[in-house]
Amino acid sequence: MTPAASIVSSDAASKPPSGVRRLLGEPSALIGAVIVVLFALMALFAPLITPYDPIASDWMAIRLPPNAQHWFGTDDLGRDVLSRVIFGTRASLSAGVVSVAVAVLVGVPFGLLAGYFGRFVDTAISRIADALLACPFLVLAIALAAFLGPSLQNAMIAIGISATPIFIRVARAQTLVVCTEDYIAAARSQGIGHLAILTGHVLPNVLAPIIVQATLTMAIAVLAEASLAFLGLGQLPPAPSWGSMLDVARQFLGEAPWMAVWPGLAIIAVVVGFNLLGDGLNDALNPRD
Amino acid sequence: MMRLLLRRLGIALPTLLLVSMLVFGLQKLLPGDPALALAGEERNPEVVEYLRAKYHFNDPVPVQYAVWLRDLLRGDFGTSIRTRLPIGTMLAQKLPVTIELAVLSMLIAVLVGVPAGIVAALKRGTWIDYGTSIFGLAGLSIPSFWLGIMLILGLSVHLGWLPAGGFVPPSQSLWGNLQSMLMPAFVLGIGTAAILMRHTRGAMIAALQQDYVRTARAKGVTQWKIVVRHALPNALIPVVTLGTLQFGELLAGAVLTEQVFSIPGFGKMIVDGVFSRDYAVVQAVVLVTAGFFLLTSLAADAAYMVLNPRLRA
Repeated sequence: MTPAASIVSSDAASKPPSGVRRLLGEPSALIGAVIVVLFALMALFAPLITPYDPIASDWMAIRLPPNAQHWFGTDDLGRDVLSRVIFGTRASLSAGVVSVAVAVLVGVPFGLLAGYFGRFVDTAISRIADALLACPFLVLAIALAAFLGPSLQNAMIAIGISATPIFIRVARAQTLVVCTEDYIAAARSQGIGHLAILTGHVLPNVLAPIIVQATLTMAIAVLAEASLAFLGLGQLPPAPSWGSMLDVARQFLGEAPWMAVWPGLAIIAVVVGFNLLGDGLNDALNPRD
Repeated sequence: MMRLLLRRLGIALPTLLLVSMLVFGLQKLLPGDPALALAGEERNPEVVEYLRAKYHFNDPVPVQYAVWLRDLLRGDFGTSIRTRLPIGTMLAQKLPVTIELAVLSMLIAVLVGVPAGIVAALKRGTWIDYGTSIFGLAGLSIPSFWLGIMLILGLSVHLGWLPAGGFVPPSQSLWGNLQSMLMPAFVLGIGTAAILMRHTRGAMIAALQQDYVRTARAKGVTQWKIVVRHALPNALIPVVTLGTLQFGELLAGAVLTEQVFSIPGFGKMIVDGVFSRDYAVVQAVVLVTAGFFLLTSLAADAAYMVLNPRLRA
């Protein structure tokens, strides 16, 4: 090795590992990422990998236990449970992604404004966030879904609005910390506008905890979507969703317990995946915590 | 301490007022004429007219809100379209059932979560610690309604040990009441147990690293005494605060548990309200749950101040 190369390599070795490398070094985060990616692939390629049409009833195959043709058995209308679990991934993951996107897109700007401008703006935004947080997540989501009407789209909006105050809080707290940094004072002294400071200097520096929170909130959102669907306020039948499959399965517990087992295990797998990934991201992106 | 509590109350009251605006605003999400929507599926013209007059739907929105709030402050939550009963009366009937469920769940959560957290902290890095970590992750990831269904399948359908659902009032049979509440309380409490376990473990590890613990060890105090007399009282301060806050969450979590086990409580009331388009009932449940949540937050602050000697003065 030339002296120059050895300097470069020793320099690289002394550099703290990047967030991605730290993430790869966390076995639990890797497991979480693999689970999430597997389910995302399942949702994307559902029509290619399902053995049967998830909606088509087969009156000759009602409530069949797991067998060579139907690995997860069939339901009360003779539909293949495996195909329905695979297609149900679409409702769950899209609810997770869309509702968290709603919460981030609404919550983060308000959190930035509250933390950056302080005073009256902060008081007003923080009180509204407090009021939203005082209504427990699921109760607020149920009430919103009830008033908006039952559908997957409205469930996503309801979960998104219920999760918004979480992001207002996180973005506000981080902005308060970032605003004490010298580079913000320097930007202000150069006469850079508020909007440019917020988007160019504050936002990039508050993103890490927001990404962690978004991943952990996906787990909550997937559970909330399943809960709303279980109560009849999410994806409407016959389209498959894990929550509504469990609601139907409850009526046939004695005769067809397999109808209840698989959708539940699928929910647990996805939620564990997002929780592990979120915890791993937290360790990787916020090493000081 | 009183001044701090009064300041917290000073924040809680405007928050409750904002919550009331939010809950009132829910009505505005209904498509079309709210009087028609609130009148349920029958849409009896007399009921529609009564609702229009009662809620002043022909007046501007601020007037509608003021009238609605005035009625609320008088304890008038409106009348249920489904049961034709005053909602206040329904709340008084259902709330004790949900509070019993939440108290039993919290008891299970504390009895499981706190000892598990202490043991995990003492056995840090061993298989017991990893086992409790897995329990913690499972408690956060298993949907309560699925756990409920699985327990019904195992303990009721297959073994026949416990009733699959329904509620026996304690006035009728205390034993029957406990039997009907055991599975729901376990299902609701186990998630909270996982949260308490995680926090007890963290607080205990931090407490065991403090100087006063090292001094006690140097003086030859036994491990048992160090844990019970020195570390635990300090570690439990944040755990008690968290537990009090979690009580408000349990009231909300009861919605699904009551649905699975057919318990006629607060949670079932909101779900029944949703499906019979009894919007006033839904609003009342959200408002009362938020009120409870703010009360438990105040109680958590008070508990923190009482337990933390630095804030006691």
